[in-house]
Amino acid sequence: MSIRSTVQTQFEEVAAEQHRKLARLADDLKLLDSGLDSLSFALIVARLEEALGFDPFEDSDDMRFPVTYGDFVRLYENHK
Amino acid sequence: MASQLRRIPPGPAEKYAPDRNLLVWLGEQFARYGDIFRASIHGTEVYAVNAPEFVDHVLLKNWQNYPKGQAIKRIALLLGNGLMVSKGDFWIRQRRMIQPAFHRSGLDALMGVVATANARLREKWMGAATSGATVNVTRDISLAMLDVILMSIFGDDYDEVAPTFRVVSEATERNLEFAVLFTSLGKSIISIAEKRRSAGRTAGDLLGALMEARDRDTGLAMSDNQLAKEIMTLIVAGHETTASTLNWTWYLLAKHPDADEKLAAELAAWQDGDPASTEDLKKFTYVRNIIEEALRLYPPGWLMTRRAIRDDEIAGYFVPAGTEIYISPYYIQRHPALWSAPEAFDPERFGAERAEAHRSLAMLPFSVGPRNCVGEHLARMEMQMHLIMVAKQLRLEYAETQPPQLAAGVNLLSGRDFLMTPHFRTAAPL
Repeated sequence: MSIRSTVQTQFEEVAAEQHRKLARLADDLKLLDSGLDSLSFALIVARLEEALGFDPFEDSDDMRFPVTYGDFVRLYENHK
Repeated sequence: MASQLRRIPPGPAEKYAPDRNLLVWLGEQFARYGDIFRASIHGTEVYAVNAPEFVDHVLLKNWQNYPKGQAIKRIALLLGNGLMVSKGDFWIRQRRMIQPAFHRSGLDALMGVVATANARLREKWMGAATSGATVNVTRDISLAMLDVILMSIFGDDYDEVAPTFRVVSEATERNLEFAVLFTSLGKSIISIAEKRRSAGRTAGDLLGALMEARDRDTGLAMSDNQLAKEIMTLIVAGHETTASTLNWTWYLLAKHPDADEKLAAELAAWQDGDPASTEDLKKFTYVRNIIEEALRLYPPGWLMTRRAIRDDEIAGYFVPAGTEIYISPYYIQRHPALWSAPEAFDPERFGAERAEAHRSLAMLPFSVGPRNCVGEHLARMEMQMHLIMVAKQLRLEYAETQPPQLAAGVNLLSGRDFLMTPHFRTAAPL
């Protein structure tokens, strides 16, 4: 499964578990408009760490928070 | 692991529903199952524990098997891998570099800025006492404690950064919007550091201490991005926790006039102006007891989560790798087997002659073990200074009769701001 697919799966699963109405996942979707709250994002990041073996928010020296869904996916795809 | 050890704790068959208040739900399960229960929370297997022996195992004896759990991801989104979030060898290096800045011996140097911020707040509330106006205690204390931490960190550069960081107090929700906004502020910190470096300027504030800190093994300073993350961690962690405790302290004092009178008597006996050293603070035992009792009843960090790396056993229960361990200072500090009349506000329980306050691991407001709060001594000093400086002049009246709502997010806050009316302890100064 590609990183993009793994990210999408976790967005959908966590949204369902947290009873959140998830917006259609497109690269230009702003995360603030995704329908998810900060707890949901924390759960997504935790599960992606289990699935992929890394957490770019902890590993990266960068400080910016991704603005769009596309930024979020690329954060994982470009992680070294 | 032997099969006879594979005993699991009792617990609810139903999963935790995300629309339930987690604080309330945990309390219901402890009442139903006792001091350890198993549950599915946010899609993860959780053991919630509520006794010192479990805390001792997870946070002290076998702490290396229990790094921070899922809840820390909420902080990581906001603060990156600062001291609260980082793990392993990197955390050890950062902790060694940061800890000296918070040593007790350095607290006296920070008392001036603590006094300055509290003097401003006191002046505002004395003005309200003169005019009979109501003050927003929650908001005013939040701003004052933000000022304290910003002045402690940035020293002479405070005026330049203060407007930028006001958002920390103004935005009460620690949501995604705040994360986006707050993470963008890191560049302000780097800018100040670069200016100091290019001017060859060293400073005795916390930013200066962290800029000067060197890794014990490599001799290197931390990167500017890491410096910014550590400073942002100090701002968030050092502001909301002390502000929340003082907010609850004023609520408790307003509801318990007998304790407020004892406090006034202790403060009236002190005739030497505002305390100027940590030696002065030692003389205020009742102030200290009040703050301990507020921390006991309303610990800001109401929930700590850890995650088992390897299979383990706690009190005969098998703990599979990956299990999250929930420890709630809120519940352990109200445990009826550990505290007499645990729901009552009773500052005297922290007096030297009462044994209950000295039970090991019954109080966890700053956590325990290697990953305890690095700023504990600074926080205690800030809270004592605030109470001494303001309560010597003023008492606060709270007319609301409804019990306050708890907002259990990252920290335990009051659901609504406390609006109170200040009154002079003695006749208003002419």
